[in-house]
Amino acid sequence: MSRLDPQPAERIDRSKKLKFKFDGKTVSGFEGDTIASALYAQGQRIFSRSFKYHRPRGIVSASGWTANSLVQDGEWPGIRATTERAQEGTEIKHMNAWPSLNFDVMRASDIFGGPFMPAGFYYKTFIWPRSAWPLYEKVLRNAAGLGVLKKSQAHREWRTDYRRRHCDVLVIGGGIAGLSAAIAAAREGADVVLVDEDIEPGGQLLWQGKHEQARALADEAKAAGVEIMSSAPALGYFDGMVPVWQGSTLHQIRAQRHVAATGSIEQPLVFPNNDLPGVMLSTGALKLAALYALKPGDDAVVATTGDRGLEAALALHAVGVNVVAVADLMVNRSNELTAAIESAGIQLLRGMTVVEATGNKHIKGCTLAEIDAKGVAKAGTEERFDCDLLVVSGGTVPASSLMLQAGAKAKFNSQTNCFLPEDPPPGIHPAGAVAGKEELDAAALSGTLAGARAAQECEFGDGSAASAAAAALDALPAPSPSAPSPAYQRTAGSKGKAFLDLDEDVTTKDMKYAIEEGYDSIELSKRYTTVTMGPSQGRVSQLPSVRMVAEQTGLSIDETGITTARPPWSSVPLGAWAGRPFTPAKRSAIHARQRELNAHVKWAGDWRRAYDYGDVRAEAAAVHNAVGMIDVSTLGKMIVGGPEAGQFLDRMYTNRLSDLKVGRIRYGVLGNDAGRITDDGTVCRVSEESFLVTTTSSGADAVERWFTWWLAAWEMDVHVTDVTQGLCAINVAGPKARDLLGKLTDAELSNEGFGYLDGHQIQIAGVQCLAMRIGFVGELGYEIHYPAACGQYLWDQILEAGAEYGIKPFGLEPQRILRLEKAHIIVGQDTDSESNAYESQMGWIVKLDKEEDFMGKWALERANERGMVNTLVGFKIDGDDVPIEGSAIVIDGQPAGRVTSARYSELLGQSIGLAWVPADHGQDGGSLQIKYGAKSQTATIVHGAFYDPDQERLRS
Amino acid sequence: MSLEFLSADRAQPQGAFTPLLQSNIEAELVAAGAQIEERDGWRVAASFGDTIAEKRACAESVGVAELSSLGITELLAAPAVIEAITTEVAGTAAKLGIAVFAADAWWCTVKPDRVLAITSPADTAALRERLQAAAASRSELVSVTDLTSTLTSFSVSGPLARDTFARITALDLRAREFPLHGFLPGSIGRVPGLLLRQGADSFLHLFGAASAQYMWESVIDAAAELGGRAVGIDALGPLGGAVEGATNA
Repeated sequence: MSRLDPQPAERIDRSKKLKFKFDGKTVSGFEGDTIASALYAQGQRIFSRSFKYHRPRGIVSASGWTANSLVQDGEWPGIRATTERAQEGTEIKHMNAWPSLNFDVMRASDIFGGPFMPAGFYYKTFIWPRSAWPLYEKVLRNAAGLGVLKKSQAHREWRTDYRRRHCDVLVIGGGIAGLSAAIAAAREGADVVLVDEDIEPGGQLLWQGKHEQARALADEAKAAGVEIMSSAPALGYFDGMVPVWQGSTLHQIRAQRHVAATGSIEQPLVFPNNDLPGVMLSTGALKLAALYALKPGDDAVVATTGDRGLEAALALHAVGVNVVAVADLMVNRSNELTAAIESAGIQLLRGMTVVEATGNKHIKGCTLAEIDAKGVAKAGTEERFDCDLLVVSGGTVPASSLMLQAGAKAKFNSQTNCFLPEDPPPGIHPAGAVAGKEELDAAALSGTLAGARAAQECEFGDGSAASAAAAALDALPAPSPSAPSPAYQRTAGSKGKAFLDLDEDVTTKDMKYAIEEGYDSIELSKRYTTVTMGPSQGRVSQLPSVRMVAEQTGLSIDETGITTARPPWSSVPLGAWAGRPFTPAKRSAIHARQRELNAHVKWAGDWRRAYDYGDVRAEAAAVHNAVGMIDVSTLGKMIVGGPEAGQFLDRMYTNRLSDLKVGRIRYGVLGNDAGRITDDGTVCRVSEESFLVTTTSSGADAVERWFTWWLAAWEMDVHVTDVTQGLCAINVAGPKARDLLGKLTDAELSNEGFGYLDGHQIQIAGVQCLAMRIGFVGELGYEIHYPAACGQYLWDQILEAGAEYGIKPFGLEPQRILRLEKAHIIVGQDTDSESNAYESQMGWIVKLDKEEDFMGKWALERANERGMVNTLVGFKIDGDDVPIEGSAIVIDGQPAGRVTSARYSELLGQSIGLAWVPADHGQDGGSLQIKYGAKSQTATIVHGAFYDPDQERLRS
Repeated sequence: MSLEFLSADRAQPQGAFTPLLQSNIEAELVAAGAQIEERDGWRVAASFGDTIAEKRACAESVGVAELSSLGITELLAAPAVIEAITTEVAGTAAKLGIAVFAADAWWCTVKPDRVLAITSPADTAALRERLQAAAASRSELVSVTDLTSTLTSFSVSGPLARDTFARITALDLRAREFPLHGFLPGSIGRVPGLLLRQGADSFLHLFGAASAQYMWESVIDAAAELGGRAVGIDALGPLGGAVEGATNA
């Protein structure tokens, strides 16, 4: 067991024990433990196998900065064991090893496969035979071991949500700089949100012996009104919107100003076998000890380039770790820390660093040495030490990805040996490490300065807080220097793999190879080797890879540059981005009743509609022989009113509507400036100054916009109100339709009193309706428009009254057969963006002699003069073999047209349809060759309706 | 012939027929436990079986009520004419961005030349007639249109009402940006909608009636995640406003 006596800053609650399973074995821990800390306490040192070579991997940062700690939690792969709280009863499994974590047969790829698996090997192999790729892919995916997702999932079994939060100031990062910024901004009166990826705010203070200060600052921030979100990484920066993932919710935070206090990331050293379990960043070792009361090792060696490693050595010594030696790459450092180390009796080796680690599944020892400018150990300086913990600290880099995403530029700073973001865009204030202020005092003051400035820009405060912070910041002494790390430090002739990127198993050798292959810029080599492209997004691999490219190309680090920062900064499940599914659906007020009548419901545009009620042919037959009813509430409906409404409609439609008499209806076609058909429908003059205009179901919104747009341009005395969703519409059609309605109304329904294309307001079963005698389906029919609040009631009344006539509700599919029998077009199906009224066989509706100029008139005049190029014709085929819609019309073996609609008509005993053909091949009675699939059929062209061409039934 | 066919309240008993006015989503409400009662000619969800718990939800978390029976009358005219008519009918001029409650109606300006008047079902016809009479007396073009059936209303009330909307809309509903009686258009659940802040924690959400089922599922789902629930109109104050309670404004 590695558990220490109670530590002052520990997060665990020793009074609350918990148990979970890891690879089937029971693990005990305490509330507050992470999965990794509980496992570590029980002696687990290997947490995963590496991506490519299946090398054993252990804890490095205890912060989720590498993929080393990824495990499968129940059904969920890719869980970071070092940051995920342990939960009672969970089943945790390793992800990338077979048959076990301790013995993984794929380790053979490390031992034997190295020469055959250089960087980018998969671009050159597995390409022959091509047909075998699916097999290769399966094998490779299994070998890569990214965990196992469930094959299927119950609806919303795992839900993700979006939550939007607006605020004045968003502070990203909960370290001392972030907390100071949040407090400063909130004190000025700003609405402040602070997001932090750690379990609790405080950052490095928590494990550097200043946890009380951290928790006091957090309390102060809360008291000032700051909303603090923990375990909530900010994923990116999207024009001011910052997505933050927490639990199963993606918070979309929109702030007026941002403070980037994202802290720093400690960097590793690159040397042979630097990936062995037991090689840890000082951050990892200190976190384990301070927060989880774990002894990270018994015998430790520390290799550092700056103060951070020295502090770690002292802290580890304090908790009982035997610190065997400390190698400080800086030759002449002498400060309080070096003095404390020496007074503690720890061997301090100035000017030395680690050049090799040894061990198989865990570190057993390491070699320290002085190195030359290339990083090679100077002969005779090597010293070997036995240890089970090697703490490394290669300095820090600011976590600047979000600032860079926002538009800041990365510039290498030779003082701090890292890239710092410069020139942030307006409204973004860096604080702490990303502002080059990493020392605690400086970080706090820079946070206060950033927070106060951000608040001031939101018009809070008088600026005095910012001025005071700026002055105090200027008075601080310069920070302690750190030694620049070489790209790769090793013994002469060393053969062990030295890793630049632990996530992707990219070695120094891979990077050399990539550059030799010609991928000699950081952006190219990144893509070839996949360095920095793993789950950690280059947190501990970007600077080492840049150093390596610089060394190999001879460029400076600044000239080499860094790769483009892109979201997501922290890896999250894809479901986080998808969020909660929103699929808006419109339904008529009668929808529920139709479901009760066993309607098959399908999408029709953005509506859910009854497609049929189980017997398409019987439904169509009922309309021809008795009576049917269909819900056509989805039709677009607009009230166009005003003294100039008639003239306005004359300008919009191709035909004349201003002369329509009150109570009469006319069909109309809408076109665009180019004379192409965009929509169609009916226009009923309801009163002298009011028209009810109907449109296609899918065209309602577009027509409303089109009308409104032109009204704004013409400034006519007209109002348009969309009442699509307020009116139900039922089409009652069939020879018995009049008899049926007669049972429900006292209104005159005779042909003389209520003729074809009449529109009358009448009471039907007590409901005030606008009944319109029109006939899309080709039989005597009434399209009844009435308030949706009465939708279901009137549907029920009609259905009940129609029972004695054999009424059947019918759906979209029978309606399509019925309208096709009448050769009525559906705009968008039988027409396209090139179709004009002439070629669609509706030249009769174009009134070029209208008083008003109208939409597309000029284009239609040209089309009329030119004559038809193509034409829409009807066709019929004996038998019930129906061509597929979209089938080619073939002339002389070449495609020359297409079928737009086709159905079998039970009534006619034929297959019928509409098709576009060359105009000179569209003569009535002519023949067409239709090719669909392997079939080819001859059809006869029909002009006009297939059924009741003289409209006798419609007008009866 | 006028536009009487747009008004559900024109439905009258006729012989053996007694028309019913009801919500588009009555079936969904019943499936969720609604107890339907007739009020002012409408079948409404009076409660979901426990009015006390429903009132508690509105006071402590969030309650969502379906209020399609609320009358909505649209007034279209030039801005000066709208001001004159609303002053004549309601004694006050409607303002852009802030709704006004007067003459037992909310007067909500969607844009300078478009105002919606929201009333209880019992007052809808009378208000519409007053507006029509005022419109008839004007020489300018004025349109008065009954949109009761066109727009459905939900009341979303309680201290977590704003957080409920945060799950389905990007609108900034903080009190500073959307004050008491604020009225704004925006996309809610990816559907065009209108939002009225009736009280500190009480919102009236208006949207196209055909989206009622989808919106009910969406809002209830978001509210339930926060401990909220469906409530009947008996848990609410007049016009769907919440009984005053705590605020997270």
